[in-house]
Amino acid sequence: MAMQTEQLGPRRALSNQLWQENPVFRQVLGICSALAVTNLLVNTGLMCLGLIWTTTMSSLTVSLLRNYTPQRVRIMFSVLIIAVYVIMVDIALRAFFPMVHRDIAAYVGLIVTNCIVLGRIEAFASRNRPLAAVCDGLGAGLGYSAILLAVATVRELLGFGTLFGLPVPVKLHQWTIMVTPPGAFFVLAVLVWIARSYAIRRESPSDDAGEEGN
Amino acid sequence: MRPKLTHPAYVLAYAGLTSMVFTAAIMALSAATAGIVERNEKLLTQRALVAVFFGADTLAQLTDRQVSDIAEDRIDRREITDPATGKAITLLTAYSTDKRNGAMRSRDEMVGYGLGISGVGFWARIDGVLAVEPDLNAIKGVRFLNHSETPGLGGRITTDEFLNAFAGLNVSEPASGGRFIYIGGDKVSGATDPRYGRRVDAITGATGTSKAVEEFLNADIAAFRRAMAAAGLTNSGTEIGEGD
Repeated sequence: MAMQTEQLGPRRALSNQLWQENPVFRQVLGICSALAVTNLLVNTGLMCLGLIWTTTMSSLTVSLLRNYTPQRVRIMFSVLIIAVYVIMVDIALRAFFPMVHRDIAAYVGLIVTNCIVLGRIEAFASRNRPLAAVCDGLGAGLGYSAILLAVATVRELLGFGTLFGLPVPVKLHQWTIMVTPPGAFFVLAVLVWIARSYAIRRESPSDDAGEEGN
Repeated sequence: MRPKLTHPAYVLAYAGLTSMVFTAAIMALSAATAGIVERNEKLLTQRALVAVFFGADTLAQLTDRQVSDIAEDRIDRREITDPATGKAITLLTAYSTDKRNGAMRSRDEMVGYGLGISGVGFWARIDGVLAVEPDLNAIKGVRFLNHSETPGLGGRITTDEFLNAFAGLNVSEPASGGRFIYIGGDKVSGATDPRYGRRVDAITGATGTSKAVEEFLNADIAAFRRAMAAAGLTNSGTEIGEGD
């Protein structure tokens, strides 16, 4: 599936990333972290906040400097920008949320390698105005977060019988596989299946003839 | 005037300048928070020490300042060496009373001994602290400070459920071929089982982490007991040399 590259207004840029171009279930990006961090809702939520910050701020920075950045070094520059914002998240967690940092530090570092961030920078922020780029980055982060939180809800519920660490009133058999990364494959696949089926039904040829092929 | 983006000098200057600016920003942020981070890390260790020596219930009632004061005033540190490996061990000795100028505290005031524990977990290094009773024969508490185990699986080594199971565990010299502690495996069959009083349940779904913790805990306890004997402290914990 081709990534969104045309000039879009801020509102469309935001909504596109939330649904039509959702990074996880439409573009199948960011799957590594979707598998790794989604066995606990708290960890997932914090990881999502880190990614939302990184996609939004790196899109803004790249867009602001897009007319001055040489093509030859644009990838290096983009990775530098992403790394800077990820390190900021790491430093903030280390300083103000040390217990949280102890639990998810390894995954925060992995945001640098998240395809969604570099993907949105390359496909959109590097050729669009700052406001639209911010909306696109924010939308990508929110779209990613929505799917990850849905996966985490299922995995924590079935794996631990808890939600946000709190036991649910119903006694559930705990599936160890739901706690391990393979469990995420199943849950993510089912969620993508449901979302795509819904999207296909919703986006019938008559109401979206100009949509890119998926 | 718009710069010529393809000129090699511009490309080099741009790459160098942006690298410097963003790196400087990170260094500035890091420097600005260095004090807070250092305090956090120190407090994390101090909280762990107070928890293993004085109990989680005591810790829960203390402010950060009180935790810091207790860790500084009631826990002494000295180096001892394991004669078998030459490894230096920082021996922690906790008392129920604060330090007094130059005066030694009595054995009755001693709460227990402690040491840093570390080893390779399922993924990476795990660090923690372990405290034992003054007679060296039972665990007072264990806390893990740093680890990279899988959240929700091996990461549960930091949960109260797992840690509380260690309190009171027998770590006296085991019978030949036995171990100081056992994590996981079959339930203990009875008082004649060599694992009696020495076993805790493994973490469900994290056998690798459980086994790794068992390995380095046994190695560290063995080294600790050898070092204590070599330092002039009998296995019963009675100090026969100079006090702390």
